[in-house]
Amino acid sequence: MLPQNSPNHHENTELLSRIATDEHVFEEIVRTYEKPLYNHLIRLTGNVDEAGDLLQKTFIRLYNWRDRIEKDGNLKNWLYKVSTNLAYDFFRKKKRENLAPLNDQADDETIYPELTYSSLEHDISVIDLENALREIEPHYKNILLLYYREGFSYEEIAHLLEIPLNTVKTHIRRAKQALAALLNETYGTN
Amino acid sequence: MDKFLINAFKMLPSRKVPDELHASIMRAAMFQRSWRYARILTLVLGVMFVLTLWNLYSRSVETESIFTIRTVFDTWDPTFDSIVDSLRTLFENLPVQAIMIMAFNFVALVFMMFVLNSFNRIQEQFRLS
Repeated sequence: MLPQNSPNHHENTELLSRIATDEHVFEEIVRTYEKPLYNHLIRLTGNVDEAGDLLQKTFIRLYNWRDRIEKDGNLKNWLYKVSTNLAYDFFRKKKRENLAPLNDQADDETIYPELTYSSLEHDISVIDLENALREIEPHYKNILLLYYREGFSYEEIAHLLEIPLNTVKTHIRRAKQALAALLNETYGTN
Repeated sequence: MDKFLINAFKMLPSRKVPDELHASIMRAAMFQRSWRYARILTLVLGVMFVLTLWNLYSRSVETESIFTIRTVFDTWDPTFDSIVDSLRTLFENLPVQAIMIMAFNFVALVFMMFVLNSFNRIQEQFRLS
């Protein structure tokens, strides 16, 4: 789940301490994180071109802010935080332009069927999972991807999205319910 | 259950980052450095321009040459000759060096404006590429 050859915290700190003075460190960071970030952004936005654009903006921000990033901070978290914020900006812009939401906004009071192992006992095809994710509200999709795909902990997601820990747990539960509802529709399970 | 979802999410396909995108990111980042220097240079030129202008104005007040222009424009019907005469008086009273510096500054500033404008366009190109 974590990026292949992803540097550990110590290596991250070292990279961050050298990034302001050594141009090659920036390229090293780009090479390490571009693939996982690119794929995360594609899944999040559902658009390859937009994901490429957001990826570029993320790394440009890293380049411009390289003197200001906390040297003992977590580079991976920082990159995901920036790219997520940029993706949210993209969703807001898109929403304004279309004058309609990208997806049906999940109301906080929306009740989804409880996701149980048995309700998803079918072999889920990749396409169905992708289609279901496409239908989910961006925020829920993001939280699911961060937790289940990218392997972030609840605490890291809370820090990354700047929301309380309990809200993260609630959002993951609701996101799972929304996903289950969509998959159940596909597989006709009640 | 979570393990089941982790496995399901693992199935999602991954794409390779296109070489062009990687190259574009690196170019855009390197470009940021030049852009930063260009902005700093423009700012320095702008400050120098204002300072030289202020310097020239103070000198023209000292020598009272600025008042010749004011007098010309205060009349209802300034003629071309009177404007040229007053400008000549003004410039005769000002050091040539200061005027040259100001003129050079102005040209450099305009040039830097063009450079920044082009940088902006190139930046857009990077994003589109």
